[in-house]
Amino acid sequence: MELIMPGLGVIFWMTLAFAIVLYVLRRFAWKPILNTIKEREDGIRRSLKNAEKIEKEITQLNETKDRIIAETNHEKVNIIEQGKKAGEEILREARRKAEDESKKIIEESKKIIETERKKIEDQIKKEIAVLSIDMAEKILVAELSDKQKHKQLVLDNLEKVHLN
Amino acid sequence: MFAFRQKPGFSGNIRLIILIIVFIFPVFTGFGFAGVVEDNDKSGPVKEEEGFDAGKLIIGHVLDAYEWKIAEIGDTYIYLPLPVILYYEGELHFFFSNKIKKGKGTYRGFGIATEGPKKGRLIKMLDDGITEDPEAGTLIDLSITKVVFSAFINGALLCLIFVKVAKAYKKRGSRKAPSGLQSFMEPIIMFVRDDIARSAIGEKKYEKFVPYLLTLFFFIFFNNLMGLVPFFPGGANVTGNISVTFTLAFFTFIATQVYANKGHWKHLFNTPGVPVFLKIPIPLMPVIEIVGILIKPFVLMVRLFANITAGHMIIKGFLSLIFVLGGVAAAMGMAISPVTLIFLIFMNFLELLVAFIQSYIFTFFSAIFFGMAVPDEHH
Repeated sequence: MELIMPGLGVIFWMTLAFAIVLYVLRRFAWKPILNTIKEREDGIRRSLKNAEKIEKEITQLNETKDRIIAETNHEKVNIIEQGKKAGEEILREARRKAEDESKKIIEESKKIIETERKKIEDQIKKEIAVLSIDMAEKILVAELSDKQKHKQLVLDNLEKVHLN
Repeated sequence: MFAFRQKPGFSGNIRLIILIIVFIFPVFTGFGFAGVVEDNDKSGPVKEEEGFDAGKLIIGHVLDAYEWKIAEIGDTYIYLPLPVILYYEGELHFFFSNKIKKGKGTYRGFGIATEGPKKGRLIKMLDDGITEDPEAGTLIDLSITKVVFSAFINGALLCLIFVKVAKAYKKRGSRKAPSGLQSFMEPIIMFVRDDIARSAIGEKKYEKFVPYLLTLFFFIFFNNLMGLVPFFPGGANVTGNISVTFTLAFFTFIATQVYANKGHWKHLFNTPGVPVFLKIPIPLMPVIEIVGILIKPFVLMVRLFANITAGHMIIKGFLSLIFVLGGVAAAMGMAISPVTLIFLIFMNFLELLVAFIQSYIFTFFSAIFFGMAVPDEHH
């Protein structure tokens, strides 16, 4: 009977003891403990969210990087191609110009040669005229002495004169 | 179970506190170890004669007492006298329990009853020191008994430990991992918060109940564990005392009614979904519901009391086996002791488990009652 009958005194003191323990622990223990745990959990949750965001950003950055590299590669190939083309163009142009130039030079030289020849021809003609006159003079002088001699003279002179 | 790492300073502190409690407290009470009695008088009514009585030992252990028996070496009886506070007919009596002893007369007319319904309690006696005064008035007994004193010590230790843990939390903050005692307690705190409070009460409302549930859990758990320590200041059957479990259940009951919302009261007096003829004219459902809310804490009270008391009884029973058989023949006592020892170790491990499970169950059911008292609006 003693075992199962609650006693007033024990109940009174236990109420007091438990109430004090409850108050002390609530005020000085559970409050800071639970707050810190909660803070930590929030921190972890935030960090996880941040990590996720950062991961996403990294993926995006990676994608951008890959894209840029691909673009750059493409650009490079393009530039090389263009360079090649431009080089060929320049070469061709240069060749053509050189050809033109040489043609022009040849043309001009031809012209110059022509004029020179004409000049020389004129000169020669003039020379021939002078020579002819000289010869005629000499023939005339020789005619006056001997017919045979005249003939000989003309022949000799003719032989001397070469048209070169 | 207690193989946790701790800073050397901490264990030193705890040891110091225990020492203070053991040695200084009796000095404060003005007695020192005045509780040491040389009982040379062989004709004493408590001693010898009928030999070893296991039943008496077991019952004596699980019951509350006015003094705290620490050891009995030969004829030397060492005990801690505890304060007796009595209120009788407008007068407050305060003395220490070494003045009164079971079956050894009265002090100021008070003595411990040896039989009848008030057996073991202090009563107003006639001069013969046995029979109760038939004209006695109401006696209010507010003595600090063994159970109360043990609960005080355990409660103080509990406060100390958790204030210490809280300091570790404050010092380390939320950015550092817990360490030492803090890291030992954290999983248990998280267990109570998440697996008891949150799962039984619900995500929205659990937070305000957590401090109470934590206190309840650790108070019961710590008292259970201290009850398993076989020597002073442990060993008192605190959570196996019906008054203690009554108080704890009462706290849960009061908290349930205080925090209950409209849904709870509506459910109590006008249960939804029940035919009207069960409510009017005979308020059958309200009566059933009210009985229900009273039975809930009653069951809590009985469950904890019965489990812990049974555990203490079994351990003491196995222990007594050595002496019972030893009383028959010394060799038999010797022979049985290894077997008993193995059983005792097994029982102690089992009781460690029970200590945890019972505090868990008490707390979990409290949480469930809170959860039922704060139903959601749509309910």
